[in-house]
Amino acid sequence: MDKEQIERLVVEIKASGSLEGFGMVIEQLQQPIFTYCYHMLGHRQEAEDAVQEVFIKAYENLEKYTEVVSFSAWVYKIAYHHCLNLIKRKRIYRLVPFLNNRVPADDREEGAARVEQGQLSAPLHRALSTLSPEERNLILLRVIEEKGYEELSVLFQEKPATLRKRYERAMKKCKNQLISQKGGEMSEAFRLIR
Amino acid sequence: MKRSDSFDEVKQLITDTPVPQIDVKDQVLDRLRERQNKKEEFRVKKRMGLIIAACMVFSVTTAYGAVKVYELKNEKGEVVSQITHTTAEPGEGQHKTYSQLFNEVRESVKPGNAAAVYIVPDNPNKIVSFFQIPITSTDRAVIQKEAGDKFTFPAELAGGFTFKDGSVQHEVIRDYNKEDFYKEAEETKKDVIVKELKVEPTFQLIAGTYSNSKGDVTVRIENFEKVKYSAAEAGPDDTVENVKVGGQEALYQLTNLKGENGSVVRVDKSIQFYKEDKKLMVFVSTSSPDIAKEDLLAIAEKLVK
Repeated sequence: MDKEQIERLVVEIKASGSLEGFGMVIEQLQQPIFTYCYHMLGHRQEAEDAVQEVFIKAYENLEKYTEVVSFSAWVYKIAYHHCLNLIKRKRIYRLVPFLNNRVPADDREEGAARVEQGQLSAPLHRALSTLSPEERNLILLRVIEEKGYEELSVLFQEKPATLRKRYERAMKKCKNQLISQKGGEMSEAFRLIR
Repeated sequence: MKRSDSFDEVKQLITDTPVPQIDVKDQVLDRLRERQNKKEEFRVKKRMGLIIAACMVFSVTTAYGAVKVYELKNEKGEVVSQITHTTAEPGEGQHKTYSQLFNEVRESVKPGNAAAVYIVPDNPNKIVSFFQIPITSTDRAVIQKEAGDKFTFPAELAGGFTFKDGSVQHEVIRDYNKEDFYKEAEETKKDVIVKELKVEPTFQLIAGTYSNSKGDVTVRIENFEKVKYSAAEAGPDDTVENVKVGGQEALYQLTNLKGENGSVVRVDKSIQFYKEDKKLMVFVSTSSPDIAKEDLLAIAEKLVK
């Protein structure tokens, strides 16, 4: 299903409220939205929970979607604000010893089920975690989704030039973090950069 | 070499990082259906309420086996609303969703206890979850007993906030192996495998809610005996300040939580300070717009002593 087909389907769902139709939209977008949330949050289960919440919000607010931007971009915006709220609430504990797997339950809603998964383990996630959520969001939408500055500009109501500068600054920070994780040595990924 | 070229290498690293595959479609649709049913139930109830207020009505209840039909009639005797209530238990073989099975397990666990659960249906990624049912009480003595001599939850906070309720969580000891769950499910052909988990004897987190006419304030203590440090993030539109509480360093944070359209839907305010002797992090927080930073500081001043 291409983007135009998704747009047409969304128009139908807006009129009919069809959950079956929305299921087809979920099938198309769930993996990219999960990838975004996974990199934003650095935690698999939180990302999976987030994806569910994002689609529920998207469906229940469908009448607000105005087609000024693509539907997928609109869903990304919902995902961004959802992740931003989660990041603000999240308290990351560093236990002693750090690699002890007994990560304490966090202080979300009582008894919220947590699923065992690695947290912030990949070098990329460690580097991304040093960026602000806004910077992370920009990098992910530019790199993974290949969103243009014009579309992002409409989505986040910022000038394209501002977004471009912020993106370049964030990428530089990310690159430096990845290099410093290797003790200042170049990783294989950066061998060609210098 | 141009900068964009060097960024291409970073981009490659991002796109090459493996991402797990997920499938949440059925879970999302189940939850949406559930929410729609609740909304419909509410809508019908609301409509009934309006008609009752406007007309002289009576209701008739009839039973057909396990199904009850409730009718609401207007003055002319015309049926204006009907609700069919199925009271029979679901028959054997009826499919239960992941969330239904999970809720059944949750309801079987007593407060203060924890469990790990593997649910076979609707679980393509074979996720084993764990959870804890916190101890909750409106009796301050119950909450105080859990806190022991580490912290005193007073009956009343500065500003006349009185104790309303509290909850206690312990750290869950996750000494289970996912493979054991898979093996048992395979051998027994059961849909749900549950294992009770132990919890650490000392609390991990206790929260007490206090209220007065302005709203609620929560006093939360977190056990930092095993915590080296904690980190949180604040955005550019949030506020973080160094403040003094009882002569010691503390942090004030104002956090704007936003809705799906980016507008602020809630503002959280909190003061946090550390009790070195007890290895406790203490948070005094509120979401009430009528409770100011100064109110929280006055409460914290009393608690720090």
